[in-house]
Amino acid sequence: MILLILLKQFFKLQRSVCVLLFFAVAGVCIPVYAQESNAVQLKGTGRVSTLTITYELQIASAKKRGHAESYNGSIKTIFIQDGKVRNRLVALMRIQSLFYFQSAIQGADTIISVKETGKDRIVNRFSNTEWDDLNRKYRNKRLAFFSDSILILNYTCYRAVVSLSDGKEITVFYTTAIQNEMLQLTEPAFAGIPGVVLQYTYQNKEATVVYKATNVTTDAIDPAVFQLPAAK
Amino acid sequence: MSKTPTDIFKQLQQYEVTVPANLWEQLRIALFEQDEQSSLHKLQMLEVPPPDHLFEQVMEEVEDLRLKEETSKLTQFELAPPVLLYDRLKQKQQPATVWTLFNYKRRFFYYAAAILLFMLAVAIAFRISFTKEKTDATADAPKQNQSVSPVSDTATVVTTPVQTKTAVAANKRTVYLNSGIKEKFYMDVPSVFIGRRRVPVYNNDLLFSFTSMSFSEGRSVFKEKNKPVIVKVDDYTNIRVSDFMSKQLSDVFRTKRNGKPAHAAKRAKARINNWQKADRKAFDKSKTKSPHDIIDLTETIF
Repeated sequence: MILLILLKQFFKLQRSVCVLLFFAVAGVCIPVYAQESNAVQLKGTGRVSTLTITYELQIASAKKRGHAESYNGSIKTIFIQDGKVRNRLVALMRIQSLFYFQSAIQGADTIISVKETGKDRIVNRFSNTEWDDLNRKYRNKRLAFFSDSILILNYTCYRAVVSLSDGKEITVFYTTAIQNEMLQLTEPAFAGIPGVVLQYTYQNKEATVVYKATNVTTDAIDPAVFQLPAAK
Repeated sequence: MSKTPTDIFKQLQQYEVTVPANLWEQLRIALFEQDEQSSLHKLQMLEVPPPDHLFEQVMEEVEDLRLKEETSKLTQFELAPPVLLYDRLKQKQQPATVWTLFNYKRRFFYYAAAILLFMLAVAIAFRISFTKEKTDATADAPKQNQSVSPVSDTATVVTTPVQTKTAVAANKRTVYLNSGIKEKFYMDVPSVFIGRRRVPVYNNDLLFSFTSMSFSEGRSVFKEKNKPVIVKVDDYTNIRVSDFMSKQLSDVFRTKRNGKPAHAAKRAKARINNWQKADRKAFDKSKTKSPHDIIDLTETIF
């Protein structure tokens, strides 16, 4: 109100113009403030039960390969809510989701992989044993933590290196401001990391592949995101 | 001897007296001009001219009388016309139409309405056939706005007996053929946006959908160099197509001067198909690799 009066007096503007200016300024400022507030709120939250992380896949290679480039720029979104996780990879080449529903009974989790692309949708159902078998390379991994850090989405992220028994290494940057153990269930490479990973990198002889978080939010997720196709 | 009349007339011929030349003129004057009080002269003063056109009327009457007389004679030769002739004449008879501007306008609107209806019918027919083709192509793509009741997976897994390796292998993959999935599958991708352009997506296959665009559309989407192509899939997902892939996709839409696909276009499309085959071979049938895993993905694509 005061702002309106000041505007009117200073610029000798009509009342309607002042009202429009006020709402225009408010319309810009409020979302920015809300976004910053959200980030501040996440930083101080710690453990969250609802989490959505969006990663962008970047591939750097001296030699361009079409198959690889079809994944370059793709997006991986991880939805976590109420003990359920959906890991969805959207690339030019394919769209595929991995569902992980934690069970109260140990060893009875529901793990389903669904290839959404193509005329024939392929659904793979894993038992816990099969899931462990799929991720056996991470069984004897070693974790090394470092003090250097970078800023990702206004989160201070510390470096860690996951070393596998065959010599492969994944470099991760994680933040301790957000905690959610469900993420580690779908990404066994992150098991033992004391926080949410916002960037991870793998490098071999030919290329460097980086997953970097572009968005983190704790907004409620539509339960339909976790719905599975019914069996035939 | 008695004389015949002929003889008598011949004898009289000798005693013929010639009439003087001006005798008739003298008689005329004496009768009509010399004496103005004569009866003939008085009657001439009372002369009344006849009305105008009397002569023509009289002639017409005379002609009519004459025609009637002639035609009355023809009635003796009268012939009855054929019975069918009258009916045919009746059929051919049409009332005379007076064409006004209103008539022309009304007809124009009728023709225009007929043409518009025809065009509308053609458009609807095309639309239906196109929709049917798209439905066939995405025949078993999950439909929107249909809820799916979640499967009670936990109970299913608990009741499953301990599995041997063979049983595990048998149950590991369950292939749902296209005809089996009819329910909504959240975040199905019916279309994406590239800039402001909406591109339909078939079977959630972005690469296939992009290479299936029309030549004009594909060239306009992937033509600009040094400008990144951003594909907006949904609120969570914006894919940035790499320069290399953008170039490959633009090659798919290269044409010759006559407008036909260039050889480079066919090669580019074949190359992309080969990449897709390699990807399906690597991940669809694999039991130990997942595209979600960073190491599996990197080792497969490189």
